Amino acid sequence: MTAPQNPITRAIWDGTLPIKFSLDSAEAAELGAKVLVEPYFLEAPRCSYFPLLTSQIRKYFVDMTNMALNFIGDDAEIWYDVDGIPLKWHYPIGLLYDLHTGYRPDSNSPPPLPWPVTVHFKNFPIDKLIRAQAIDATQDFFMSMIKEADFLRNGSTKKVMNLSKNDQTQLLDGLWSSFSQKYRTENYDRFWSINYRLVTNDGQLPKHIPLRIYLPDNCPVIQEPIAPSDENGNQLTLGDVLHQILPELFPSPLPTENAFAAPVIHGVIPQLNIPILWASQNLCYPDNFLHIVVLLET
Amino acid sequence: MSTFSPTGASANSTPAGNWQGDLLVKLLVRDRREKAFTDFVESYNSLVQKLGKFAERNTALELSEKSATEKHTNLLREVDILREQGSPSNQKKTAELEQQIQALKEELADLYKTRGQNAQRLLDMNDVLRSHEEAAKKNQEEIRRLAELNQALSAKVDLHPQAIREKEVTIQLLQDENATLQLEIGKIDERMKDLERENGQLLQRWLKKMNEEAEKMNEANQFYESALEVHAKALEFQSGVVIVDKEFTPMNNVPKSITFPEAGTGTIRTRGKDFGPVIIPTAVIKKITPHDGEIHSIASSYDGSMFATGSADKTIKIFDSTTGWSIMHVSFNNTNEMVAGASNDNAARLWHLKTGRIRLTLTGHVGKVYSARFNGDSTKVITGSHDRTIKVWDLQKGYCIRTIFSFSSCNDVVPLDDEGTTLVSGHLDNNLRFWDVRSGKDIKELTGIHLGQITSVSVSPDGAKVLTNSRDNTLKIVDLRTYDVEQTLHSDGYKTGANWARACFSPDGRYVAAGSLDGTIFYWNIQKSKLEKTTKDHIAPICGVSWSPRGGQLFSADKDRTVCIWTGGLR
Repeated sequence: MTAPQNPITRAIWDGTLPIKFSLDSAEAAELGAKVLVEPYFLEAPRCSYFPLLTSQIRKYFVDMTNMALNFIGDDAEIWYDVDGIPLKWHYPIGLLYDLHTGYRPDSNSPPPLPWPVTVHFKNFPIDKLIRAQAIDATQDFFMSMIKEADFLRNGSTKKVMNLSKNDQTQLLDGLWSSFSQKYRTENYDRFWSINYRLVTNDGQLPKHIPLRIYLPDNCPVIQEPIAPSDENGNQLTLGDVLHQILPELFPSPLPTENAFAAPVIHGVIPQLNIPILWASQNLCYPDNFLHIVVLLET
Repeated sequence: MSTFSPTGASANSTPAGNWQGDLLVKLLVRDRREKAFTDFVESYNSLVQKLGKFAERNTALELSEKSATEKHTNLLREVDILREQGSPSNQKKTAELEQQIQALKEELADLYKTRGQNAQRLLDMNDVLRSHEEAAKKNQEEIRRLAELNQALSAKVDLHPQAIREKEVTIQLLQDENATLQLEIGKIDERMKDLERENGQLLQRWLKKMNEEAEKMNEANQFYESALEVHAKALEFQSGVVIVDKEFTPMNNVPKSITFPEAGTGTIRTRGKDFGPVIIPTAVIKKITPHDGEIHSIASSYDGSMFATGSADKTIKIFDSTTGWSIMHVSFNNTNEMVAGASNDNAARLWHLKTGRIRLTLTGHVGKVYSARFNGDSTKVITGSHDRTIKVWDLQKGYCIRTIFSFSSCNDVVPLDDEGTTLVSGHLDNNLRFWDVRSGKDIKELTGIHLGQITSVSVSPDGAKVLTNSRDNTLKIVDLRTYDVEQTLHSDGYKTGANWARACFSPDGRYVAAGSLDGTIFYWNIQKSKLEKTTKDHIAPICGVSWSPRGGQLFSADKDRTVCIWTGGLR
């Protein structure tokens, strides 16, 4: 089934972020760099994950700088941090950007772009991050998120599990190969041809909406089962959901003028009257989850 | 509402607001904002790639540059080397030169070494020279000393000729004495030869006389024979016999047999004609026990005047056959009358009857000598011994001239002729053998004639027969021409008395007498070939009988030291 030519999903799929990867200077010295190693600029898709970028980053820093660095370790040794906070590699890049920069798109200040990320080759912080085998672990995590989403929707992961091998391959390839600009359209089609079924749940109303809410300052992630419609059968809106989950921050489900918290999805602040179901279907990340970052009024 | 297609068409119609459009706008704004750097990043990445490529090229170039510089430096180095050392050929030359120098240096070192060695040797040589000089000095001293010694000795030597001269003088004197003595001896020898010649002549004359007498006697005897036969049975003779001893010097031997030498010369046995009337002696005239020991042998002299006994007491006693007194017939017996005794000490001895001294001892046998006989002319003695040899001794030379190996121990040996060129011997192995003395070989061996050892052999007076006595208690008469056994004489009661028991012919060859084990003397008549008579007086076994050539007497000896003289014949 061909993906719907929904411009919104298309726009979400195509979203990219310029990132500036710099090397920690002390580490550089340790690793034998004799000259200053210039930072590396990359345009990374919002829907991708950091481990997918690792090989290219490594290639630049180790190979292209005339072997300035003596790094012969595994890709899993490489980790990233922003302002000293290690980046969770199993979060999508867009989510991490929104969360860590805390930039309110409706503000007038210039966005922090390119996003400065520090690349580390040593001293993997085991206490803060889970070490993993780069791409395979990321893939497994991605699939487990999709299964979780399916479970939340249907109470079982039957749908995901029943996907044929071919369909799974389509799904994964579609996402993993999303890096190349050339094949972006192809990949979109490949991915969404399968994902469409998952997110629309074959016309059935999902039991719960798979969503997560992220608060700044290392707050624990909030994940609560939200039904798409209330007991009366009305569709819940985004505002309703937020009000339900975070009543202090969202005193009312309707947008007010002086709200001090705003949800950010994919770098935009959506209106609160968006039906949550539609949001979950169209605004979700590739892992079928609706990751909402709540930013406080500065 | 139940429709929730992802398309935004139906949503647009809700009155809640154009939230989709709003969303889209917001997204576009976002994109404009966030994708502002896309171009930059793209350019940047391409630059980075180019940079990378340049970096690679750079490293490659650096490497090649490094290798090029290395090569360059190598070449420079080589050039330097070449400049320094020249071309390889020059190098080789220099290397060779250096080698030569090295070799020369080594040679030089060797030469220094040899020089040092030579200096050392020179020193050693000097030492050796010094030691030699000292040795030479010592030698010179030695020479001086020896020269002095030499002088002394030569002085002594000078004295010697004088001494020698004196000695020569004495020698001369002695030689003169010797010469004179030799002349004397020569003279005496001449005299002796003359005397011997005279003697021989006298003997011949005497013999001629005797022959004449004998012929006369023979004629007379022929008459007597016939007369005697008639009276033979009834005759008994008595005559007085006086016995006289004649003792000889004791000897260390036991005579086994005694023979008298034949006094006559000439080839014909004269004994035959010499005898008196032959009658079988039957009466004992005299019985004597002259010896202390066993009597082994008894023999009468060729003329019958004497008989001798040899005994175990190591004496030979000679008796006069008529009177029995010892006689010293000096003049009568002027031929060298000797008695030969064969003895147990492996020697034969010859006594001179006149002096009674031993004339000759014949040693050489290695066994007991059982028989010793003179040959016809008394020049030789023939001995037969138990060492299985027969020896012929020359009396003049005094030693054995022939030894004949006789295969068996010889009990008795008799010459068949006067010169003693043929012998007959009787042996322990029962055989009779005939020998030729000149060749030393046996002529004939008669085996099987006796069944016991032959104890005595005697030749008949006519020389044609041989009588053998044996321990098989028989006597046999063998014809010498045909070597046949002519007669066998035996009798009941006749048993040979000893291993050396002697039997003998009567002087006329008609009878044979033998002594027996029990002491009986048996007389056989040969012509009639039967026992003629037995006489008994002895008690002990008879060891020998000897018929006197005179014919009428018989001497018998027994083992019990008794000698009997028998006579018979007409009174």
